[in-house]
Parts: sequence; structure tokens; C-alpha cells
Amino acid sequence: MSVETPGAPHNTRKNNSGITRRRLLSLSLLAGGAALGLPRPAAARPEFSGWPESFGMLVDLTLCVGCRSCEQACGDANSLAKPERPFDDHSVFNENRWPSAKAYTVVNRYPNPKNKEHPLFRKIQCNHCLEPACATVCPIQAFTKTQQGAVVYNVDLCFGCRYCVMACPFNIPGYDYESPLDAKVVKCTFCSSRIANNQLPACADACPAGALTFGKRTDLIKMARKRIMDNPKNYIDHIYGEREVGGTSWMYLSAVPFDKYGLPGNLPKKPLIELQEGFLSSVPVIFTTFPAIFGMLYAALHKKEKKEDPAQKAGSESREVDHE
Amino acid sequence: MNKQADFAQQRSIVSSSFRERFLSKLFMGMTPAEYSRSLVTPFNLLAAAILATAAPVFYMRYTQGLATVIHANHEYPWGLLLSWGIFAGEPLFGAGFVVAAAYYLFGMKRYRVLVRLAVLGGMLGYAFAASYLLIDLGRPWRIYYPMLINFGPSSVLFVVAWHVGLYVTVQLLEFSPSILEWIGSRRLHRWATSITVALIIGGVILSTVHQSALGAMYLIAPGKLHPLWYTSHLPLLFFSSTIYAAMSFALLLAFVAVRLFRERCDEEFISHVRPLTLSLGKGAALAMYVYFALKLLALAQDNHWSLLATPFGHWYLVELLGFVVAPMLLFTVGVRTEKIGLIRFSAVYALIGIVMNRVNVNLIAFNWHLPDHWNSIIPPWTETIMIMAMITLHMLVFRWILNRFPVTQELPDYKGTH
Amino acid sequence: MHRLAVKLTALFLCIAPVSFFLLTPATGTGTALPGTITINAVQKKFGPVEFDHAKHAALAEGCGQCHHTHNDKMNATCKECHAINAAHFKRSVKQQFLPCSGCHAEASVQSPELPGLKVALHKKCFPCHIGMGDLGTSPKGCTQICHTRNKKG
Repeated sequence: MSVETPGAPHNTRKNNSGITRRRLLSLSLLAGGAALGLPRPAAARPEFSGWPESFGMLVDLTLCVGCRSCEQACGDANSLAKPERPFDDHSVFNENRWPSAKAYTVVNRYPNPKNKEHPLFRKIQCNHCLEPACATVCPIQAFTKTQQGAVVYNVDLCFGCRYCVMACPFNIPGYDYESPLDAKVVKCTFCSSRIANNQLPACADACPAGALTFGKRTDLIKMARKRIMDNPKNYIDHIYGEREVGGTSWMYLSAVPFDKYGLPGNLPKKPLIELQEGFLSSVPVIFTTFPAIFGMLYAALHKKEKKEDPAQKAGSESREVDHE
Repeated sequence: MNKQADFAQQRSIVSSSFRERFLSKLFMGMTPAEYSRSLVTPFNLLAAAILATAAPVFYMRYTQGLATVIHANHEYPWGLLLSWGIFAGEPLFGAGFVVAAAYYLFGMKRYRVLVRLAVLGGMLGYAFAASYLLIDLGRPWRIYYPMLINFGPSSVLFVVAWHVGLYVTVQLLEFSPSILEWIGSRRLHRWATSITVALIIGGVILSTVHQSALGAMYLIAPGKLHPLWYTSHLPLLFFSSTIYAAMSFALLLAFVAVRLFRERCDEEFISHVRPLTLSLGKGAALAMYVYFALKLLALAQDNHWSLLATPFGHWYLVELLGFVVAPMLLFTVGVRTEKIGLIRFSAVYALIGIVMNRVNVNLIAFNWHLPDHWNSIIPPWTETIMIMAMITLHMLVFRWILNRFPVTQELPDYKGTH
Repeated sequence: MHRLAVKLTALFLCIAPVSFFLLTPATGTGTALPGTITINAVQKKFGPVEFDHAKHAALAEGCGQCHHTHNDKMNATCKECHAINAAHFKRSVKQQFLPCSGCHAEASVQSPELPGLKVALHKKCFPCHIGMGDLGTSPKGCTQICHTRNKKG
């Protein structure tokens, strides 16, 4: 049913035990009427809270110094063209930049509410959700969440509807609107090919400040908790991304509330796919009950009509069935 | 039967050559020269001007990329083009399934004369909705991918794509008797009419699902859509508003037919317009009461009353009171006093409200908290002219079909077959 | 098998005196502190860094501000260092200073708690240097005091 995505050696299909929710939902949809047998489809599917051994990134926002090394390394790793303004130009901080086809990650500056002398910096890139909204909403399944943790995009399947852009809670997928023939979604790949070769993602490799720590997501969560416990004055007690939208592979620590960094603070803790599950589960119900209801209705009305006037002729207003 | 049609029939009897018969049907019985002369009207000139202005914009879009004609970015992937072309358009084009269901399934006999017109309105509307998509898709030549290449059944858009695709086919089949009568194929016509009921039930299912799916699409973005518009009832709200939008659109279609295409309407159609308008007006009013109740329910369930005091709350009230409650009351008065004019006015008013609701969900209340929100949602002139061109084309194609196909009349040979 | 054992023994005999010399306490009474150190372990965008150890030693509140020592404030329990990577932490830092690169090498996925050499070095510089020049406000800060760009940078 799905085409093997390049750069995604472990496609979701290969896992036999941990069927993903998306897959299960597909099955229930395709099964149509069979889904009616499930009393509560939402309760019947297994919980999926991410691949157990998947990688993640812990971003300690308190450590970032805004050196833009990650941007440069990302551009090199993805063979992107050199930007017009060099990587040591700080005038870019005057704008609110966003990842695009020209740069898969950018560092933005935010005012520090605690100390005006030391501005805040955040590197912006795909957060690689555990249950990605982009993958949920893509009608052609052009996105795959790999077992390593990356959410990878397959341009060969995409037709450019940009529902992924609309659905992403972090506004991450950029669309390359410039090109008439090669229009495509562009976003961070979590350096999935480097990870496959036991290398760090380029940005984590380049960061001098220790703001980016790459590792197993479970290890990173323990590490983040420890940092907060060891230094409670330095951090707010929240690992952003541990639970937001069901959890993300990239997680953040901060000294100030996360909305100061432009990270949305109004996200639900459950995976966004759950918000549409109810509707999707109702589709097979409509398909199975409507023909029965309307078929019976038609049969009943038709029968009555025959009885009333066997030689019914068009244009007779008086024998209307609707009672108005 | 009007003069032109008479003339056409005479000609078709005299000439036996297929080519001549075909041309006479194409030019509505006129010679090519007569036909071209008949085209010079103020409306046509305006239409030509709009299309001529839009042509280079369309050329730019397909040769220089989307970025040259629309202001889409990572925060606003969809602009007015889709808000208007798909989200605001499709509820109107539900006219086809609502009227067909009334006649075939609910046995409301007086709707028979309106079925073809409503199905035409619906079918054409969906065809145009797909055309808007062909403008906006990054790679429009892959539009069939969700159907044939790879499936994403967890996606609400996948549901929409499949249902709209199937529904366009169903509508084409529903409308096919008209086309077959025009061509004159009796055997196919019999076959096409025999599967009608199955098609209508299929159409009702497909419409119910995809109209509500359009609302369900927005369920994925609780962080982006303003809480007053974001509710878990979005699918239901979209569907219930479709009902009155479709009824309003159907009664306006009948109005347009008798007002602008009177010579194409037979006596039976014309005599039915008044009772049909009353009946549709009554239905629309009832559907609006249901919709209003659901809106209040959603508001109460999420307990968002306090948000009504904010600027977006005021805008919400403008939509709800000014463009739902007001047309709802006007409909009620119109139906009670049997004022056809007032009902038609209410229908236009209600449709403006529908467009407003969809644009609110799609553009105005979407990403409402972003700092540069208001600048981002104003469409560039290129996007606006493309929309105008599409509306113009839509009207031209509608007129072309209504002028030729037996939509608002029954050909004598086929009487009583549908 | 027998040959391999002979080879390994020979290798051990060669290395042992050298490593013994390296591990001998460097801060025994009378041992001089290094003056200037050239840090050239990581060179991607930037050239080698001349680090004035004497100056920093004079400014620091003690060796422990930069170096791991026993009972320092950087790590609360023995386990924190000694359990991260057994190979690196069989040695003791008691009364001696190992080169940073002795433990901090390339960052490894297996032990994310152990920073790579680049991060370990910078973590010692930044707490004081942020706010000097443009460091902490602009990427230009990198090349104002410490770094010079090489061809790749």
C-alpha cells in the first residue's frame, strides 16, 4: 500500500508488534462495515507512544549563544547554497526568520524578560513529533516517522496540497512556492542518513555551547529531569516536547516560559490525530447505515405511492407525498 | 417550446448529416455568423475583459510558480483562492444532493422539475472546485495521486478527495440523462435512469461525509484556529450549514433560470418556481434554526462565553447574529407571509453568511494570534483576479449548458421517463 | 592465538612506562603550570586557539573552576563521573589533571551526558566570556577574542 520511503530504512510497516495508530485507522476505514463491529473504535486501538529506541534531541535553550554554527553545518550537510548574508552576520536577528527551501534551520533572537543584556536564542527546525500531524493529514502518505525518530518526506508522492503546512502545530514545513515544476515541502530531515551511519545530526555536531544534545529520547528525558533537579533556579520545571502533541523527538529546556521563544503554549497534550479519530471512525458507520435507512425510506414511500395511484402520471400536484 | 428550439428541430429533420445536426445544436440553431453576433453583449464584454486580465496571471502561475501569484507561506498555506473556491463553494453546490434527495428519497414530487437544474448546479460547482484545486496544488498534474498512487486513509483530506471524486462521477451520471437526451441515445438513457435511486443514495452518503469532512479538516489545528470557531462539532456545523446553503442556492438557481433563461424553461418549470421557492425557503429556515442551536451548543459546551467580549468575540457575534440569526428570521417572515422576493433576498443573505463563516474558519480566525495576521490574509490582486476569472468562467459554462441541454424543460419524446 | 598474546604483551610493555609518566601527578609541589596552550584538537571552521593558561589560572578562583577535581561543585556524586564510561573513568583525577581530551572526545550517542571535547571546552569559556565583546549577542563574538577563521569557515 505504501511505497518504501528513501532514507527511511525502517518503515512503519516492518514493525509487527507495534502497529501505529495511523495504520490501524487506515485498516478500520478500509474495512468499512467491519469497523462497526468495534463498539468504540477509539478505545480499541493500542496506545502508541513512540518507537522505544528512537533518537531525540534535547535543546537547552539556556546555553544557546546565537553563534549560528548549526545553521552553517545544516547548510553544508544538506548541500544548500550559501546564503546572501554570511553566517556570522547578526543583522538576521533583526528579522523573525523561518526555515525555508534555502535553510532548513534558522536561529532567531527573542528579548529576554529577565535580562535585557542577554537576548534569548532559539534554533528553529522540525520537532519530529512522535505522532506527526503532517503524516496524519497527508492524503498520499508522503511522510514517514522512522523508527530512529526522524519524520521524513518523500517528494515523489507529494502533490502539493500543503495540508501538512496547515496542520503542523509548529508551522514548520515550508513549501517551495518559487518553483513551477519542482514545488515541494522542505523541512529538517533530522539528518536521517547521518544517523543511519552512526553520526550525529550536523547541527548537534557543530554546536559548541552544548545547547544541542543528541541521544536516545528516553535518555534525554532523564538527563533533562536531572538538569532541572540539579539547578532548579536555572530552569522552569517543564520539558517542552515531552508531552506536547503526544511528544516530540526534539525537546526543550528553558529558564523562561516557552512562549517567550515563540513556541506555542496552547497545544494539547494528546496526539493531534486523536482529534480527528472520531470523525474518521464515523465514516464507515455512515457508509453502512445510510443505504439501509434511505433504501427503506425509498421503499416505504414508493410502496405508498403505488397503492395510492397505480397509474400515476407526471404533473399531478394534488398527490404530493410531502406534507407541507 | 420556444422558437429557437423549434427552428433547431426543423433543421435537424431537414438535414440528415451528423455534422450539420451537431453544429446546429452547438450554435443553438443559428448559423455561426448569427451566433457570433449574438455574443456581443455588455455581460460578455465584461467577462472577456476579466478573462483577458487574468490570462497572464494564470500563465505566470504555471510558468513562474505559485509564489508569483499568491502570498502563501509556512503560516498561511491556503489563501482566499481555496477559502472561496472550495470551502465556501462546496456547501452551495450541495444543492444537487439536497434536491435530488428531496425528490427521489423523500418522495417530494414537486421537486422533480428542479432536480436537473440543481444537479447541474452541483456538478458544475464541484468541477470548478476541482479546478480551483488545479490552480492551487503545487503539482496539479498529480491530482489523482490519492486515488491511484498511494493511500493516506488516516487523512481527512484523503476522505474529501475520494468523496468529492466519486461524487463528481455520481453527479455526472445523475445528470447524464440530460446529456443523453441532447445526443439522442435512447438505450443509454434507459440505463442511466434505471440506476438513479442507487446513485442518489450514493450521492447523499458522499455529500454527507465530505461536507462534514471539510469541517473535520480543521480539527487538526486546535492551536491555530480561534477557540470560538474551533469546536469538536466542526464537522456537524459544516454539514448542517450545508443544508441551508444548498437550499438557498437551489432556490436562487430556479430564480436565475426563470429570470434569465425564461425561453429555456417549459411551462411546468415556470409554474413550479413559486411553490418550490416557498418550500425551499421553509426548509432553509428550519435548517438554520438547527444550525443556530448547534452553534449555541458548541459555544456552551466549550464554555467560551467570556471570549465573546474580545474583538474576535465581537466578530463572532457579527457572524452569528448578523449573518445567521438575521437571515433566519427573514426567511421565517418570508415563508410566513409568502413573500417570494423576501425569501430570495434571505437566500442571498444566508449565502453571504455561509461564505463569511468559511472565510472566518479558513482565514480570519486561523492563525489569529500571529503578529502580522491581518497583512497576511489580504490576498494579492493576482489571486483576486484569478478568483474573478473562475467565477466568470463558471457563469459562462453554466449559461452554455443551460442554453443547450434540456435542464429546465422536458423534451416531449422523453416525458415521464424520469 | 599464542602469537597474539605475545604481541599484546609487547605492546603493553611499551605503553605502560609512557602512560605511567603521563598519569603521574602534574601538580606535585614544584611542578610549573603551563603558560600558553595551543588548542588544536577540533579544527573545522577555525584555526588553532592560543590559550593563555597562566592568565586564566591567575584569574580563576582555583583549579576546580575549570578542571574536574574531587569534591568539586561540577559533579555531586562519584558515580556521575565514574559510571558514565568505564574505560575513561577507571583512572582517578585525585591530585592530578588529565588533559580534557583524555575523557572528552567525539560526542557519543551512547552517553549523551558526556559532552564532546568541543562542548566541554566551550562550556568552560562561556560562563565568563558571554557578554565580552559580542559573544552571546552575535556570531561575530566567536572571532573577536579567541578564534580566527580558516578557509572552511
